[in-house]
Amino acid sequence: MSETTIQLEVFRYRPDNGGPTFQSYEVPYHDDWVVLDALNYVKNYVDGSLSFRWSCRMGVCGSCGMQVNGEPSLTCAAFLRDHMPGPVRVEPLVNFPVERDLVVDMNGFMEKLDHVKPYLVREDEADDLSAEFMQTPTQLDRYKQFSMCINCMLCYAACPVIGRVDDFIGPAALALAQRYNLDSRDQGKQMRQDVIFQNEGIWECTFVGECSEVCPKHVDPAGAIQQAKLEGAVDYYKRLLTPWARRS
Amino acid sequence: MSGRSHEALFWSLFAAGSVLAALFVPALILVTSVFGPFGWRWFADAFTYDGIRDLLQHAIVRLAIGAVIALIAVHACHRLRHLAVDLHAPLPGGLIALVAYGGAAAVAVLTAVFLALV
Amino acid sequence: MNRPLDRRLGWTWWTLKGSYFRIFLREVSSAFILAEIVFFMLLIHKAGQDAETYLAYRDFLWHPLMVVFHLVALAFALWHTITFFLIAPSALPSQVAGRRIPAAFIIGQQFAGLAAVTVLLFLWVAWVGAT
Repeated sequence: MSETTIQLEVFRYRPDNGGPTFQSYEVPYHDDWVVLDALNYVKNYVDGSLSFRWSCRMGVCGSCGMQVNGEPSLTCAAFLRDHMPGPVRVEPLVNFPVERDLVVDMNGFMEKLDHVKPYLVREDEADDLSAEFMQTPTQLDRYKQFSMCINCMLCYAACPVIGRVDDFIGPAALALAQRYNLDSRDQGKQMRQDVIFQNEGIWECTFVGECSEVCPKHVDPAGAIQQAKLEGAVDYYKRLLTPWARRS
Repeated sequence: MSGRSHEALFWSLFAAGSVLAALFVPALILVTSVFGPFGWRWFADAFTYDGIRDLLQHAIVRLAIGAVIALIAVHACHRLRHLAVDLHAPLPGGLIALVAYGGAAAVAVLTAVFLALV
Repeated sequence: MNRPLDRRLGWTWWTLKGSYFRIFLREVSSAFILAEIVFFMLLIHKAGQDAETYLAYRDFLWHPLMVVFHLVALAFALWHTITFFLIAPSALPSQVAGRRIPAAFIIGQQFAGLAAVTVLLFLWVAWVGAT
């Protein structure tokens, strides 16, 4: 009895070897295999020159994001059985510069994350480091959804605005800005809003909403951005009507 | 980067217009342009010359229509502007915005003038 | 020599999959909504002139081919309404006064509002037409 197989069409790119091509690999099919298992099979038994990022294999680390049949997906969560009988086309995430094969350059994303200060900001830095900051379940509930982000960048690959505006801060970083702005323990809202209320912040977004569709953690960045727009509009009129108020 | 954006102003008008467009436009189209030609008598009669002048008689009705039309115009023009930008229209962004909001302002002003002249 | 490859989504992004295309149709609805608003504005304009001018414009608006356009515009307008109502829950703050508002409740309220506005408008116009 011959073993069932499935065909992978893998995007190959080596900067020194001309333009990108697709290379086909026949890999064993198993009901419980995900695309990442198939890629690891290729790497281990067929072609060791194939490059891709991965780590946890369980949807936590956010490193194995790729385009699977055109959909930004975590390859550790994309089952082969959902793509039978194949072929399965595997490409690097779109909207990012490709370094090699399935590996993209994430430096731009890291810089954008940095802009929104995705950590608790306390104005009184001299605070006792052992101090506790209490939070009620209701206060936690305000931002919890937006805190589930694993920085897998699928939302950036889904966003047509990212393709047009290099500087657009983008879904994940804006959702994280909102996550900390909604946190009762945080005091950095003014600083973050100075960044996200610029054109390259929330205002480039046209609510295509695909970021929320592809998010493996149901963060709903599109919703976060709209909520920030509402706050941005209220804040804009406040500044217009009370220009004498001092703001940091 | 560029400092806080004035887009908040346009977006807030757009958002208000979006709500009004969602609520009013389907009914507006049906009432003014579908029921009449389909021969529903009461609706056909409401758009005779005397009928529409009756509809537009009260100052409050005219004010409401003017405000709703103006905001829906901003909604539509703002969205068309962003559609043009999202389709990578090879024109300066400022020019697209000028044409879009200029068009919305023209619709708003003309509607006000026309309502005043009925 | 390191030459990263550029793979940004271009201007044809809306052709790539159904979900993009549905959003594209939502954006295109604005052209139809603008057209209907301008038609209505001109109807008001003609109502301010003599009866003959008004009726000529009204009959143009009610021409069968124009009615086909109005029905297409109606479909787009409804698409705007539906998409707008469905995304509203995620665009609004998740809590009001510390209580979470269920998405289905927000969506239901909006459609109830649409029904109320539509029925009231119908009744008003029909009443004016009947008297």
